[in-house]
Amino acid sequence: MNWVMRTAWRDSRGRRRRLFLYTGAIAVGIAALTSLRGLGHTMAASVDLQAQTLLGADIEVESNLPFSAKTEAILDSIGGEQSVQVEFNSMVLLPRVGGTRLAQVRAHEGGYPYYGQLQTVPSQAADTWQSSGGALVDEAMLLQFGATVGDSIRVGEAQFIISGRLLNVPGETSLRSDVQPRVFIPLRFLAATGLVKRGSRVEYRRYFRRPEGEDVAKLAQRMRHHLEDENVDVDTVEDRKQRLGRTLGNLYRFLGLGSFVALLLGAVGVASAIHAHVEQKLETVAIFRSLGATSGQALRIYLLQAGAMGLVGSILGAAAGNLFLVFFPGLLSDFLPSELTQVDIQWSVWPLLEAAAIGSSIAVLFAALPLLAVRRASPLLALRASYEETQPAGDGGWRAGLIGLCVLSTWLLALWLAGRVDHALYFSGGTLAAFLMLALTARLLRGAVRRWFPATWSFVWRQGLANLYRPHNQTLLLLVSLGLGTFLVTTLYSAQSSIVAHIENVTGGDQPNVVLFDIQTDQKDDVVALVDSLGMPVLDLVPIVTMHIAAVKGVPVDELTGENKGRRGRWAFEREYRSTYRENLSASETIVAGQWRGSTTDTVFVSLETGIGNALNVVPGDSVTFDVQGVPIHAIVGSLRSVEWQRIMPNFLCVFPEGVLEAAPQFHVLTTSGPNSVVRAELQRRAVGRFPNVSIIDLDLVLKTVDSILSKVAVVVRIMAFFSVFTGLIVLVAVVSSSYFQRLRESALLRTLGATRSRVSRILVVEYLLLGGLAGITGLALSLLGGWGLTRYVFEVTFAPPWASLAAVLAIVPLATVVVGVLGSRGIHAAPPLEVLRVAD
Amino acid sequence: MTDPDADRKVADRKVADRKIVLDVRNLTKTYISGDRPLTVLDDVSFAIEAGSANAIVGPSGSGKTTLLGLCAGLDQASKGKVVLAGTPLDELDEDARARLRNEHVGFVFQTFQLVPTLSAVENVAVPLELRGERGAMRRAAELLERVGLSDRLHHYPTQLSGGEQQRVGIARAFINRPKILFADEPTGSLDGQTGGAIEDLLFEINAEAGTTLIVVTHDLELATRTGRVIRLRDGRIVDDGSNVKIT
Repeated sequence: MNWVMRTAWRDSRGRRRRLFLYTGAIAVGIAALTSLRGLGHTMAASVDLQAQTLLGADIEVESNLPFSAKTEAILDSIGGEQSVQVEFNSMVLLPRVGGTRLAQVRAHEGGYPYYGQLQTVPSQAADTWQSSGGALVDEAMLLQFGATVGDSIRVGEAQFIISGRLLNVPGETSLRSDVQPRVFIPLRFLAATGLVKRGSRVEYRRYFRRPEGEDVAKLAQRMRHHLEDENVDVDTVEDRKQRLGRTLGNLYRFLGLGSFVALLLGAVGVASAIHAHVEQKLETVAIFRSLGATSGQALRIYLLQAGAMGLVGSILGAAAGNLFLVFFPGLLSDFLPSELTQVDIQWSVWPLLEAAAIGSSIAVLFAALPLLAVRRASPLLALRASYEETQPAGDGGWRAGLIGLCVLSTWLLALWLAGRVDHALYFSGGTLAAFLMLALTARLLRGAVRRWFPATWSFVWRQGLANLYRPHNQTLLLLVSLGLGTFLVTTLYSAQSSIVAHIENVTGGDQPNVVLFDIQTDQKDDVVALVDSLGMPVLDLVPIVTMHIAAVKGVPVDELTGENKGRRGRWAFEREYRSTYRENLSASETIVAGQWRGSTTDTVFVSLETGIGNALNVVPGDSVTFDVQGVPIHAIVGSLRSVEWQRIMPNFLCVFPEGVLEAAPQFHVLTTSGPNSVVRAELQRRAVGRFPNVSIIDLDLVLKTVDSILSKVAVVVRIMAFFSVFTGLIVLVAVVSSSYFQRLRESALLRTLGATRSRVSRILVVEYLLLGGLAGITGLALSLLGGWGLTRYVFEVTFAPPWASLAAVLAIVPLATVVVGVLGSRGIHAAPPLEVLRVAD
Repeated sequence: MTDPDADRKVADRKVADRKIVLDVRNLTKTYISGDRPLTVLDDVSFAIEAGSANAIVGPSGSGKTTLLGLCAGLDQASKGKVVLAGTPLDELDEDARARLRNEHVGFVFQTFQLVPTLSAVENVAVPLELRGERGAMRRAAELLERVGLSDRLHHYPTQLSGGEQQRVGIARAFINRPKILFADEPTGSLDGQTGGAIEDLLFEINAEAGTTLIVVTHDLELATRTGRVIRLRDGRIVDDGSNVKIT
């Protein structure tokens, strides 16, 4: 062991407990990283292991049109075990309890799922429901209305006995049942419901189980080839795996942001701890230098200590992360198929090694900047403690290089976590901007306190305030770490609460709060009469025609290559369009290019929403050919419109003028407003009885559902925020601990000069109160800015921060800071002043 | 008052005639204090013979400690030259000067300057360990025994009295068998009795080792124990001669 290593170890004596505490800052970040990486490995392994269960079959063929005779013939010729499912949305009624709700109805026949099982209560219902002619109904809906197994459920014109409560469908998330409860009915009774008619939005599926050993990919390829012109999708387990992989990737990236922020905060914490440590070691460095140690040797002593802190923190963090990994899948259970959250954790040494390497490197890198002080520490300090550097530090190049390295490593870390260059830029750029803004705010606040110091305030307040800018103050670090935690938590909370407030707003007053859709043309007048009879106004009644795009600028969609469509535009070319026709613009629309034409002359001018226009790469004057249920309609883009989607009214991507679509198969949407839930429920009950095909959305229920979903999303957000807040607290503990001796000496000096213990304690409380308060205010101010941006530009709703909760944050942050600060400083008044001053001298 | 030119001529003659371990020529050190330059050493020249004992005396602020720092290569002169053990310090970078110190220089500080996290024996061993020499701890233990601290080897500085700490400092100063030993107010932080004992020890070991000794001190009694006293005032040498009378 060479001198540097020996000295690094010896020099840590008496401070190991404190240095160990600093490692906590890195440990939290690494815990986040390890648990997320571990989760990633586990999920990836689970996706492989459970792939067949996730699809429930070997191959799935799906179309939103009934299978043609040719398709039927091809599918039948494949043979083997097959299941058929027809899926659509419809109102269902629970007659005993009088509950109605829009549900996803699945008319089913066959042994699907072939892999995995429908989970039901009673469990045998999963096997017997088809033969008994009963229905399986999502547990969430039964609980909502207090219905039970044995009750009946009405789907369109047919009525079924509920055979079982549906708990889980292979490959599906539990969140789905909140959004759209599922109702399984036997396929043979589909016609009896009377719900599937021409123009209805229906998905047709066929599931296949193939003999073991058969090359499923090859078979799927052959099927795709033969069904090329049949408007069907052929999905295999492999396709599902890839899609799920992409979904999981997005989830990791989101959570990765949490570990990224925590790791950076941890790195800043270590840098600060090293800064405080080294400031107390400069005299020792000077002694070593005067005895012949080179600046490199002295630097390496403390770099080694920083690396060791990083390593120990990483190992502890990795261990904690692995422990956390046991609980993690459960926390995410709402967002992942249950098959993925009930798997064994895949333990692996690799994430531990990764964590150790990353933790140590990041600790050394971020500690190197404050360690430059060691490099330029003059040996003259050994002769005179008051020696002041008179020469320029001359390490500007080093400093710039190290800052550059820190930024680069931050970006590399982001790239490693996000896996994409642009995401890495957003991650690192966004975090850096937040860091810089917080640091700038801290600097300005510190300067302001100094400049406009309240000289007339009491001694305790003046001392507490002065501590904010005294030498060796930790104002900047605490404001950044606590401020960032506050900023993250409150921004996300503000955004969530703004969305809920917006929905409450749009569903209240005279705004529409009930939407009826799938109204057939011959039902239109009767539905209007029903609404009228309940004293409810008809706010909107618009026709809807479903269609696809056949050609753009004269080029058939099939011939447009992937490159022409672009990655993001592909959906725009292939999706189903639900368009309307009318003479005038609606209140939620504004023309941004071209000219609105509400009636047809000899040319059909359509108006496209700006986003879809961009995705299709068209401008006014370009041609678009629509396939309206088999009939081609050639149109010219007449205008591009911006649409306020958040307004509760029927909004459309594509609007036709009058005089074109009137004869096409169509249905209608009606919006109305019910004064209370009793009237709205009555409307639903009567409508389900008389117009079983008409679906009704009660926006009050939507609000509750959105609230419930947001609450579940909040769990994930909280996980993310937890890491940064916890790291902030660890940094706070570390900072308090690192300045312990300084406080001890200050306390002794003040007491020597006649201050009582209580007064010294009050100075401490004032200091931490101010630090916590400033951190809270800074974080909150930035979060108001961030929350406003997020709600205005991402969610496009009015910013409505939860002021009461934010006020609570303003109280909690300073309080937590005072508690940690005072607890961390306990004992500083215990030693007699003389003893302290003697040791200090 | 002495004539600086005459002094320099004497010094030059000595360099020519005898073995010189430290040669200081026209040394000037200027600091910037506020916006104005402050000259703390002004054109100082002298030479120190190998094996001699010397004292630098002068009132507070006369530039004694600055001179010591420059002679030992702890700082760089604004003007002039220091040749230590035959090596001009101005030709060396800071790390090379550190290595030269480790090779040829020993230090005894007024405030002992022991590393608080190292035990007595570890503190003494540092200079040899820096060289990577084997047996540093054994040699350190021997020296501590020589200064009367054989029962304090593993005590930390805070567990030792001031006198004991300075004994450790003396042991550390001699462990690398230096050619020249700089002692900055070695008894300045000690009471009279302990200070006397430390002086005795310092001179005893210095005599045994044949080291050149330069003591910076206020203590006239200590200065009279050396063979030559260089007297500084306001950054200039006002007297340099054999030790006859100091006022």
